[in-house]
Amino acid sequence: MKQRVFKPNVLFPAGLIAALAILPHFLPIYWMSIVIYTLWISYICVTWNILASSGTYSLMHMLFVGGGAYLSTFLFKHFGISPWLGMLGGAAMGAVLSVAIGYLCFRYNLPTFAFFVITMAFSFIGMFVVQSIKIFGGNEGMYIPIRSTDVWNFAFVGKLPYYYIILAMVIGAMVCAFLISRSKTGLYLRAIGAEPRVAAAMGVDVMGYKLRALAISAALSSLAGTFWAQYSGFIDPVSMLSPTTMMIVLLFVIVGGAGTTWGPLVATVILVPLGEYLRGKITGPSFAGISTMLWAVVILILIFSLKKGILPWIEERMRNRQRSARST
Amino acid sequence: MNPGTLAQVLVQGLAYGGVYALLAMGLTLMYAVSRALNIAHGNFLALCMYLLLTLSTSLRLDPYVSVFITVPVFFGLGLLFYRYFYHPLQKAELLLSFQAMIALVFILTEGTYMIWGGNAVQVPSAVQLAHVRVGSMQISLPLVLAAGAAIVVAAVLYLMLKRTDLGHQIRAIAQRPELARLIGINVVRVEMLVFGMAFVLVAIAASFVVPFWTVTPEMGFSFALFAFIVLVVGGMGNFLGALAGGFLVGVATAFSQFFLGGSLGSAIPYVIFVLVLIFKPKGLMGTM
Repeated sequence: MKQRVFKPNVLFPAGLIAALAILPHFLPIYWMSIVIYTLWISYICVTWNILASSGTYSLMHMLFVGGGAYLSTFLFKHFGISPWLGMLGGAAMGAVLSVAIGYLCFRYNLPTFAFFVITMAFSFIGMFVVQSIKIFGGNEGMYIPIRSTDVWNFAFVGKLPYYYIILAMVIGAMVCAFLISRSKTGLYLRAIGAEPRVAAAMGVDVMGYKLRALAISAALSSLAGTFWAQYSGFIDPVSMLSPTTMMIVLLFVIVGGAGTTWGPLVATVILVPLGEYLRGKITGPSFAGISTMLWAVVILILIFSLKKGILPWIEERMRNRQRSARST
Repeated sequence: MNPGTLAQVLVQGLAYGGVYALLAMGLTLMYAVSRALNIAHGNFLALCMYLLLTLSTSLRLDPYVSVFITVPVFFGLGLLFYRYFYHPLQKAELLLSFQAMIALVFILTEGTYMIWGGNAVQVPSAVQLAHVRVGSMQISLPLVLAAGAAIVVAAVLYLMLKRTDLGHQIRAIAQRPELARLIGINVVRVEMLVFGMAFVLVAIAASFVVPFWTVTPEMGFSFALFAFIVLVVGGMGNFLGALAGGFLVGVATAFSQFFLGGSLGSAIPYVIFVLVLIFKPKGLMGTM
């Protein structure tokens, strides 16, 4: 087991939360939406990472995110059921769906990347199915009806309440991930990730623990779907269900350091605002794509120079420094 | 339903399938020797198609003639891609190199946007509207050529893998990379050549697909995703599996689009994929 050097103590998260809690009072409205988007992406990253600690990389989490969004919106629109209840329903649906798909895939020891491609295909199936169903709005997507702005309807005036909700969700997911990684389940998951065959030989129920991690991570990530539906007021199949979106989400996890608790957060906090900044700075028809391109170049430079995630890189630097300090 | 229409749909499926197979054979070779998942493969296809467009507008070259220019260019590009992009990443985490490819997808997509614009374009060819007459049926010639080219190229590659020294070396590396290195195979050189070959397949596919396919910057990525489905359906790293999987997925897509249409039709290849996964999880042919 690799020793974790980057161990934030209690003060660090507490300070971070306090800073984030008062942040909105200093931000212009334009940056508010970027910050909410950043937090949303990091929420998905954190939930995805729970599964990733077992060395299982899924590309279908958008299926759960989108599924949550569509279920809660559908129930709200046609039956007037509160999105909060729909959110729970979405989580249950995500858990069941993920266990079914996971069971299909985990029966055989498929190589990591086979699982990657398979989950991508499942995500596509979900997208095409939703696209072809009229009652879900087909290709055009669905608008979330605005009945009245109150807590029960998950509708608020302004962005501030949404900010605090997503912030709470990110903190909750982080706490969940932290508790899991500290528990026996987390230990087993890391063992599976490091060496599945050895873990199985030592008596770890590989399939069971992988399915458990998958179900937790799917259920948690589906909450993000309902949040986004209520926050943006509009959902469509491509942006909510496409595995392409998932790949963008993955970018942050992997650049940050897959399997680490803080890595995804670090990368999102750096890269999402950078992307938005570039998009805002460089405008005009002839430069339409150049911001995305520059952004991708920055990511490539990061990958090529660090050769690993940002956080593992920092950890290694710190470890080296400690070692050299000890030797002198 | 008259048999003429069905035959037309079948040939269309074989042509699409041939293109998927050409892409998937390249992907499978790269995966077999260096565990590379080149998700940007489709974007290189789009790039090559735009190159054919430029050659067609500036030099009035037919895409079937331009193939003699694009194949060497892409062979070189493949070598460079391996040497300066993939090789430095080989020691990094697998996921990280995959992520670098995704960043490359963004760069290539936006790059083609900026150079050639976002409009769908078609590259004209002399035989674009020509037909082959089989009995009472008329079948579009470019489709027949595409399906035929895929089979011929696959046969040549298969013989190369089975008969030549390079082929033996490639299979040795695919089966036991460490042992291959120990018995003195220059692994880096072989991997580089394999990347070059994969890119040659892309160039060939581009020339044969362009007469019946409109080109947009985004199409590359969706092509690559399809090729990946084919890769898994055929069995990761299995060369013949990629060929068979390509034709299977292509024909299934053509028929489902014809009978079901729209989004539901697009879901059929993925449904096949899930069925293969349930009944034959290692792919149609298993791994090489």
